[in-house]
Amino acid sequence: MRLNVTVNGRAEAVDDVWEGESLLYVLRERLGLPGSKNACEQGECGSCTVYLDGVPVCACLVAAGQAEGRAVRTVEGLAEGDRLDPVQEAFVEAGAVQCGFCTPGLLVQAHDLIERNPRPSDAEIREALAGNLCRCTGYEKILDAVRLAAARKAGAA
Amino acid sequence: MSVVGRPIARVEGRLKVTGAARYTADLPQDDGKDLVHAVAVCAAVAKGRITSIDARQARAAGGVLELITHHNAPRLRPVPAQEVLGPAHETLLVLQDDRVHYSGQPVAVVVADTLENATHAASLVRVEYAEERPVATLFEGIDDAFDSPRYAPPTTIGDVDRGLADAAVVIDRTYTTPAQHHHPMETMATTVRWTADEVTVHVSTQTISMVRDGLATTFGLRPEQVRVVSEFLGGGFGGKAAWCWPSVVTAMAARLTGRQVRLVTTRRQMFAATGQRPHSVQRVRLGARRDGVLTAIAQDCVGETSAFYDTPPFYIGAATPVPYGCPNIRTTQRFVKVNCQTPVPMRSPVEGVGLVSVESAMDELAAELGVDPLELRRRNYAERDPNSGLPWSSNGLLECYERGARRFGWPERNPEPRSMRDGRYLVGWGMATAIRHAGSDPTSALVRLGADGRAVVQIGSQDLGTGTFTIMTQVAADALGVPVEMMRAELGDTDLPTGGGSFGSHTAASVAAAARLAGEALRAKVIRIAVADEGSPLSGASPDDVLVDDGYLFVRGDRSRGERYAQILRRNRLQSATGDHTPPPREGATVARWAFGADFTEVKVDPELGTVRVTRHVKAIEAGRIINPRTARSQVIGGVVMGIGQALTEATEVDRRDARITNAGFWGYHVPVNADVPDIEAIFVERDDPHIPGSVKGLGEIATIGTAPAILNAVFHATGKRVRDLPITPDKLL
Ligand code: FES
Ligand code: FES
Repeated sequence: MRLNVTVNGRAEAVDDVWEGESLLYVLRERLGLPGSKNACEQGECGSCTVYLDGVPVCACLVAAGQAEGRAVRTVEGLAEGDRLDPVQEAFVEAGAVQCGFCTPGLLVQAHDLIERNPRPSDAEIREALAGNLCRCTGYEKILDAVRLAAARKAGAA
Repeated sequence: MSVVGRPIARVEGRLKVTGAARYTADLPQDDGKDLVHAVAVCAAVAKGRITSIDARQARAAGGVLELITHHNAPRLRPVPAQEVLGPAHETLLVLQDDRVHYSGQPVAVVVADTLENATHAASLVRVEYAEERPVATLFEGIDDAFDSPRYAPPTTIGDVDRGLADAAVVIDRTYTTPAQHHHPMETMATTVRWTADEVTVHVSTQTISMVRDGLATTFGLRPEQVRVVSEFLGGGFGGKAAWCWPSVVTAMAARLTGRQVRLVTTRRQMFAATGQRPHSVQRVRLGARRDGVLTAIAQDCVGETSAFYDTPPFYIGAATPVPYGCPNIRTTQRFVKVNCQTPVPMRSPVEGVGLVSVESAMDELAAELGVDPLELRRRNYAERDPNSGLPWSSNGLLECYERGARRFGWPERNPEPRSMRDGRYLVGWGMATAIRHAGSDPTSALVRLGADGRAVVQIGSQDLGTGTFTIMTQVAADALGVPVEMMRAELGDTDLPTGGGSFGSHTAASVAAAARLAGEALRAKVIRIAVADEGSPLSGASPDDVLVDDGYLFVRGDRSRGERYAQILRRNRLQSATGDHTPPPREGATVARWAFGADFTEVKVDPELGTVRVTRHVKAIEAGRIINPRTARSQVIGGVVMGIGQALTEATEVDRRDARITNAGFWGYHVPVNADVPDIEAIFVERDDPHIPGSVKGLGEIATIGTAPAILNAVFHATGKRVRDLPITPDKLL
């Protein structure tokens, strides 16, 4: 089938998509956007998190066809040109990135949290990131990064 | 000003937060035209013979290019035991015969044009087995435990029987630790292109050089014919330490199809792809005088190995003699053949497993004697390494105890179990000692300087994610004398100067030593060129009088007489120099090199539900000098959290009837999530170590060692109940 989807602001028409394919597969294997990661392929780790019409989803659980006519935003679409989003900046600065495999999903999830809730409490941050596994950092610095990003965004607003 | 020791942000951070960093499964994006996909069919029984493989339907499925079984697989050459390529080379030659040794062993591999087609075809392969009764766990096979032919008992110091007989108090306890899996977030991925001239392997590995040598040996190639690349790695923790079957079968598929083949294991397959931390039983006897001074330590371990490999590469008790100055120590280990993969290291195969029992027994001894657990350890501080009798190269253990305890508030501890409460929760405080051998590997580096004044440092090592890119940039920049922004790091390619493995906490020490030597060699070389160059203001100066600061070279005492690297290079072309780090030989050593640490932890236990939460953790580490406190801190916090998983949630469960893993997914194998994570503090007790280049001892493993036993001890303090069987799940407390 043909899939029409807007990805990071660009309208894409993808041909020969098999009905059973996941959105993650389309992004990674067909659109050359391997930023979103596959670490479990069954909705348990959050590494594949992307925005679908502004709502974070596990792209591994979304059938490609469900994205028809909709807008997807991935980690590759968070920065504006060369300018990193404050969430991206904060992850580097706070030391919230090690191997970086969990990072793309966490960034989208954290980005969404701060959009919805500019001043999240620690409990709210933990809740929002509860579905994102990281095996390297022990999460502490990720929390620091989200606090830092929220403060910066609030300061800039 | 020196950039070593400064908390600069990781140099590849931008690539990672923009999704631009390319991991193995993301490659290749440029020339992916002939890329095809392999999917493994894994054994559904744990022991037996394959009686038939019906692949007709699978072969006929859309897009299928090749189907490999033991009937048509390329023949592999075994790696002789004496040539064992490291701690975790693949010990089973897969697809060579009809034998099945563990559930999840690959029995067929399908190659197809797309991943979806390969996955579908793999589901159509019908395999019949003549099943045999497997040895499901250590316990089923314990009557047949054997001594390893490859190892004699590693340690007999003094006379343990006499030491136990002379003791006023003897603690005699048995502990068990479960099989656990590493689960880096990136599963095992390999892409291979096999041409007549060269085999190119992109692989998520902790040791590119070992993959090259392993592949060359098993496939009968010369190492020069193989190039291995691993630039960005999504974690490893020991599981990607070397060469494992997913890479072997990908290479087979590439050779048979002539195409570039990628294989990415599923999360489920990760339970039988890269090995596991072994299940163990550890009996510990401690003898002590009334004042707590140890008179004997005996540790008798039984550990699992696979059904097909009886020379496991590590000994759980190897480091047991190190932490305490006891005159009589003996450790032994026997092995049981189990129908599982051969164990591999997981964030310290030795201390991370073997000290769980010893550090818990120390806590039991303290309780028995009525001595504070920290004070008991202080009284047994080893002035020299008891194992070798050698003096320490440096040892900050007492300061770790002191600073960790102060920070944690340890003196406030009420020694009585069940004495501390927070509302309905029982509160417990526990501590443990951590040690880890500090070593390094032979490593070469090359530093190159261009006419724009920018430099590159290259090492054929790899970055697990811990910060290798960053620290080699810092060290090389310092050594050459340029700002850190002017230095770039390249690693993860066997075409670069040869590096060692990223395991054993060796990477930072190895890479830093080589980068420094290469940077200093290049600095000296350019100075020699400049003083001999009539066009340079430095012309005629003595090389010893030339200083470098921020990329500017000048004559001592006259800052105006000088010029920048870029100016010299413009007249004298590209320059480079190499540095070769050789670790000190173990034979004839005059000092013992170890890193030290102390863990202090607080748990809160729900007395009705038996649930344990770690609420506070302080870890003090002496690992020499810290090159980058920011990456180091993140690594240590992550290590502590892995220790929390080890203590409380992680165990690979096996069905005892058929030896199949019953919790093969994140849904059943619980790695800690952010809600499990308390306030964690890492304290670095820094030390100069004149016997270690740059005083770098390594952090990877000591970050985790000590955490699990500290939690076990805290749970006892909270509840009065001693759990001797990890992990501490609620059922064990009710
Ligand atoms: S890959 Fe989608 S949740 Fe794990
Ligand atoms: S940084 Fe490695 S999994 Fe999160």
